[in-house]
Amino acid sequence: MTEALHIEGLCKQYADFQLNRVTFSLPMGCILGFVGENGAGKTTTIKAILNLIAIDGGSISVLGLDHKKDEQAIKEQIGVVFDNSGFHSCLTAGDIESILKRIYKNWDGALYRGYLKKFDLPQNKQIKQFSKGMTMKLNIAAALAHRPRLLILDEATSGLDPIVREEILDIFLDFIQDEAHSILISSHITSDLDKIADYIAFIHKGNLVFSRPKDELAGKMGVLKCSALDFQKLRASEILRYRKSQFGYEALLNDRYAFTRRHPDAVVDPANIEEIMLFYIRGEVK
Amino acid sequence: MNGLVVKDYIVLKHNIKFYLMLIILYAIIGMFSNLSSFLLGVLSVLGISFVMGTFGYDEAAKWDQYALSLAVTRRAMVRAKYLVALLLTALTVVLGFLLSFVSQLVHGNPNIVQLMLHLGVFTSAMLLMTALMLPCIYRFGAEKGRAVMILCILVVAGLEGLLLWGLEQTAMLRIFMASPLLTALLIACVLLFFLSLSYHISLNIYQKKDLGSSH
Repeated sequence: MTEALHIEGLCKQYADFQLNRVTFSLPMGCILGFVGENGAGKTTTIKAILNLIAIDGGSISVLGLDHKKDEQAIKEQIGVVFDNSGFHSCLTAGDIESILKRIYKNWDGALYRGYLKKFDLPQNKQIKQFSKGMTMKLNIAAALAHRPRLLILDEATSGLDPIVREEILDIFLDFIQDEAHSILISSHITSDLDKIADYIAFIHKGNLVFSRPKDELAGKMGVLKCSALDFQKLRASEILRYRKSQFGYEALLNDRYAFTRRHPDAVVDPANIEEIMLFYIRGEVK
Repeated sequence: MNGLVVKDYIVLKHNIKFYLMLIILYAIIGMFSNLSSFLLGVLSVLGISFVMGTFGYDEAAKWDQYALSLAVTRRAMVRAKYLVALLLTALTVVLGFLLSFVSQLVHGNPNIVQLMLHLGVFTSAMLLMTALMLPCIYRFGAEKGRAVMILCILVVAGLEGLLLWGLEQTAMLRIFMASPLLTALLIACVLLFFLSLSYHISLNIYQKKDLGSSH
């Protein structure tokens, strides 16, 4: 098995929204950043993976197992963190261990308490007295203590200050040191994914725009800045999306090296994930 | 499933103060007035509120979505709630018996037969309410479930009144009174049937339920 997650033609229909044939894979041992604006379909996709919602079409395989038929076996091997805690605010970290050790067959109490110590989390303090960063660290400790092979994180770093986000990203990088471990992380904070992701899957209005290695995106794609006159001379096939700016035009290029070979005088900068996302969401096709 | 039951126990333990105050207040009123039926009635409503409370706390924490991402099946979730409801009913019955018995002793008129009869009526009412209420909560959620609970209390009280009237009219009551053990067995079987039906309806609703609505 080389894929930790494979989604093929996933469809889900709501009255006001639909996931439309979403297809992407997460190779084993990698981090896949799942990006898109709020309401693009990230959480719906994650809920479908976890079988929290019934899907209308397609198939989902997690760690080589069918997400419906082998749900229990899958959930013994994955750790999940949502942006909201899911724990009752009156519970303590100690209470959570009392609950989860009875739920997971391979719960490792020593590992959990080790994480609490590492994250500086008190055992007997109620969650309602925790900061958002502490609550998120507690959720991560709870998600890691049964030694999962796949971590699924839905907006796990949103609403946190940069210091805590950095600490949490370090935890994920630590987890991925084992080649049998993989992470699916959905986020609209693209700078986090710039730091840790190996692959980027971009979803927009329920449609998957692309799923590609991050190095390929950052290494090849570029942003062209040019005047209105120069922009008019460009062929439509040369650019993916464009935006009109205060000083002229900006265009997203699929291959900045090929473009600069054809236009040696052009001003082209490398594109980061946020720029690529913005071009697809707010840009236009020539 | 044990983890889920333990979760409800811990959550209720953290929130017990309010319920304890109510229990003590009504226990004092019940003891002074020597009305075991009043005391048992209040305890039954409190017991049912406890069960409702566990759903309310879960909803506020978005627990179900989280719990189903753990190694927990939907069947185990529903089963655990019914078990918690049965355990709380049992706890209410034991507490009701002890408080009523002490009250009768204080007033110098212990009447075990009457007390057992009252206990039987209120236990049946609690179980019937549980059977009616839980599928409604799974269908409509804990918030609307509060309205459902009041409706259930009225329905159960109405049904029991109607049943007693019917039994008196058809002289069946005397037959039942003549063989109390057989009557108790019959009631237990009816309750078991309703609880089992209720569990299957709840499970069916929960297994088809989409959790969360954000995209």
